[in-house]
Amino acid sequence: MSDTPDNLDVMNGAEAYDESKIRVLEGLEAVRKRPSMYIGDTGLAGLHHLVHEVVDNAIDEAMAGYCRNIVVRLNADGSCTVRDDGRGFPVGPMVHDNPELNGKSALEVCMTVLHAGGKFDRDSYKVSGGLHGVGVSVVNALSEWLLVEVSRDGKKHQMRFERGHPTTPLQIIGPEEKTGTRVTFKADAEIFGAAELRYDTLASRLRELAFLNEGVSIRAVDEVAGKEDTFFYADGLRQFVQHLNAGKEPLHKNVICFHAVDDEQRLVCDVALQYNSGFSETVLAFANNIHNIDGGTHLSGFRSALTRTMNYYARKEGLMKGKVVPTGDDLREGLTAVISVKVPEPQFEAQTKVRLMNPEVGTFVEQTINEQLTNFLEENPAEAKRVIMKGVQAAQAREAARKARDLARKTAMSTGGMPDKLKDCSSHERDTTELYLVEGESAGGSAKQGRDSRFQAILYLKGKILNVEKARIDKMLSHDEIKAIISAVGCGIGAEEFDVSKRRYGKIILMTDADVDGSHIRTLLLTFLFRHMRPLMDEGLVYVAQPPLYQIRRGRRADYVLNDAILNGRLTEWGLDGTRLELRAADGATERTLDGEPLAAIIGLLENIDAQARTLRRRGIDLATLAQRHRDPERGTWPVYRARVYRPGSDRAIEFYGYSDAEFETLCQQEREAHGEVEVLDVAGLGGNGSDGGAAPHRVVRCELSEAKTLERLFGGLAEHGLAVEDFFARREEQVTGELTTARFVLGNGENLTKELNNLAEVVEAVREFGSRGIEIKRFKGLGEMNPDELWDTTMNPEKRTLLKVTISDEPEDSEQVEIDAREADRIFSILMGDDVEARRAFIEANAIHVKNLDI
Amino acid sequence: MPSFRCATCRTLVEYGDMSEVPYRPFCSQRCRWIDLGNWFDEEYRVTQAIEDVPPSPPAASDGTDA
Repeated sequence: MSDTPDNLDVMNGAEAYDESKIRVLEGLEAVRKRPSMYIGDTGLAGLHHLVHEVVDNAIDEAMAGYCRNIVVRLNADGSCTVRDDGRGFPVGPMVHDNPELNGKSALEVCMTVLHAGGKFDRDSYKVSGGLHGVGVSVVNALSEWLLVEVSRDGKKHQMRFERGHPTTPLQIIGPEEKTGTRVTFKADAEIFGAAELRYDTLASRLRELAFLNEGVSIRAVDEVAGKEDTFFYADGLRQFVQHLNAGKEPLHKNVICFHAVDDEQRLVCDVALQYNSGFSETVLAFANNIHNIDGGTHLSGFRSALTRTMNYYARKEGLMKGKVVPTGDDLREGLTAVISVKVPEPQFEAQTKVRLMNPEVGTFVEQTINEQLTNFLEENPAEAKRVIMKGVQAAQAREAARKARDLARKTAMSTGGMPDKLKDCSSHERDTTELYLVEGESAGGSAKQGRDSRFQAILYLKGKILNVEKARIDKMLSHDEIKAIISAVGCGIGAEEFDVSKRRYGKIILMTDADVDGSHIRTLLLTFLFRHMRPLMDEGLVYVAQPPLYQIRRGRRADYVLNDAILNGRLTEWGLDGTRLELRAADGATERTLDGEPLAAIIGLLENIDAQARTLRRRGIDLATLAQRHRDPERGTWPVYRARVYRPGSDRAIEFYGYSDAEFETLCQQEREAHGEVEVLDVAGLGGNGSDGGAAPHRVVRCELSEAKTLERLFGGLAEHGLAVEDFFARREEQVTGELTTARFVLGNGENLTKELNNLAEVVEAVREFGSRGIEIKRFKGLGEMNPDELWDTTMNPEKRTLLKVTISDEPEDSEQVEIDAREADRIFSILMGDDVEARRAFIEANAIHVKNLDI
Repeated sequence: MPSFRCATCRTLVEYGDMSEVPYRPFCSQRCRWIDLGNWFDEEYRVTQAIEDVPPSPPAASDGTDA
């Protein structure tokens, strides 16, 4: 029926052939000639725009408050039906200046004339969407056929068109009580070719519209595929944001919503937002239901207000860290937001409407967010802190990444970019060279002179020391030192940038003083390497040097000793040489003499008893007291547990020592019967006092004494040599004359050297004293006290030195390596670096480094 | 399942195999950058009180014995 004479022509007769008529005629012809100008393109997007254009009319009714239900149906014949329950399209005759339009039904005019329709009139619709604002006439022009049914005024009207031209005049087809409009159209294959409407594409836009127009129900039906969805959101934008955040971990429970209306300018602004724990930003901006892909004034208004308000609040609340101010990008990491504005006269950039241009909308959105976000932050400090800290952290990360890149660039730019404090080696053969990280400048000086400069490079590090409030000393690695380490190692920094194959040396060796300060610096270095240069550890390239703690000079021979245990071993060994232990009776006569092998065996037992006594002391138990009051003298057994009983009404503990589990059970049973239900706790008890937990009404705290069996064995060993437990603790008494009773034990060597002792416990110390005669012991307080030769001989010479290899493993092995248990290490480092003052103090009191086997 | 806490944000990270945790001891590149920033900013310190706290004295045995 494309040859049907133009309806306007017919209705207006012969006289009405003038330019206004030509313009109207050309209007719809122009749409068919250049459809892309009106709907973007003639592909899938353009085809779907036809549906959107019709749906927009229904949405306009909904926005005006007259429509609650919209149905979009894809029919089996390829046509599409859009139905709403609005007021129904006006069907009455129009009064119009243009004689061609005057007297025609409003429906027909809207269907056949470009830019005709209620949306172009401020009074009909406050605001209107309209994807292109060209109106439904474009749809009509590009449809093979279009059928419109209007129910209003108690009647059902119908009119049919083909390619924009009426084929059936407006007619009443029956009574109808409900109201609404129903448009069915079949897109013209001459224009769109074989393109077909896709359900999923339509459904996602319809869902979006339902989110944007809360309370409106939009049903999508695909007759062919048998699909159907109903989109209805009573809580529009809030649910939109929840939908966008689905599957993500929200940073705060509730979606934050802002709403504002400017009656004078007839602007409406709605914003909903929620942060998630991710890093990407999802902010969608809509103007009159149109998604503005490139944003525009509403989006920039939102962004600048968000940045300003958050930073203002952060500064005011002291949440800002350092000098790094979060940028807008930082503050929008993990942000999901929807901005929806209603604007009576929207201005868009270009035909595609990707960007909103109205300046007044920007100002309005900005004001709204400034005001309402400020209020929200003030009223919800916990959420505010969480959200802002995320932005602050983003800024920190960005800043660190920038510094790392800067550094990488600087070091890459020049070969001479090495730090001043690096004394490089002459060889560049990577696998045989060594980089020493040396603490302290004096040590560095010795190391520089003592090294083999062919393959050993030295980097001085001065652990920066701060005296904080005169109460404590803080040690740290300075900014420059961190940079120097990164440059010298040469692998770069940052996960992706770090490249272990670019390392400049075969070994990285940490060389710090063998004291607490040195171990602190070493801990910092290990922590840094573990966190940021882990591949070096993975490949076993990090080592710890073992400088000696003592120099022992015996005659002309100098010897170096790594630690106290080895020193004591040496002194004992020397002290035993030619030494005898006499046991004397009360009258001073020698009962018997021990020397040689038996004496050495006794010393071994005594040293071991000392070790047990130290452990007991940490449990708050004195070995002498335990032996004299709690040991079973008949059987020679030692208590296997200590129980502290806290009874109701008393905060003092009653102590019991027992010899078996059965005994402990009996104790608990008795407590239960006498004082009611009891709580039983097991503790190691190594913290001394006060570690028995809080004040429960009735509690038995059991501390296992694992030393019992060992002590039994050790004292048993002494007994074999005829020495009693009492001999260990004996004291010489003061006589009336003021003199002491005869010493039971006398240690002697040769003719002149003797020492009277109270008891066996004093023997070990006395033997060491003998051993140290004629010997000069020098304790190195720092590496710097060693001269270059000494340092080379003891610590740096590959022929003689001992190096500990630092490895990371989940299962610490029993070997002479510095094991960093991957899981433990972090806990240890966190204690060191963290805010838990108690934990940190405990750690430092326990003497610094916990890295396994470090202080052998 | 082995796990660790991210050294920056303290999130618990569980893993079956080392290769699943490329940023260990951090949960993410982000947290690693933040930590690196802390080193650059000299945030990490080892602290020691100037007056060493003496070790606590042995517990007084003030009860009756079993």
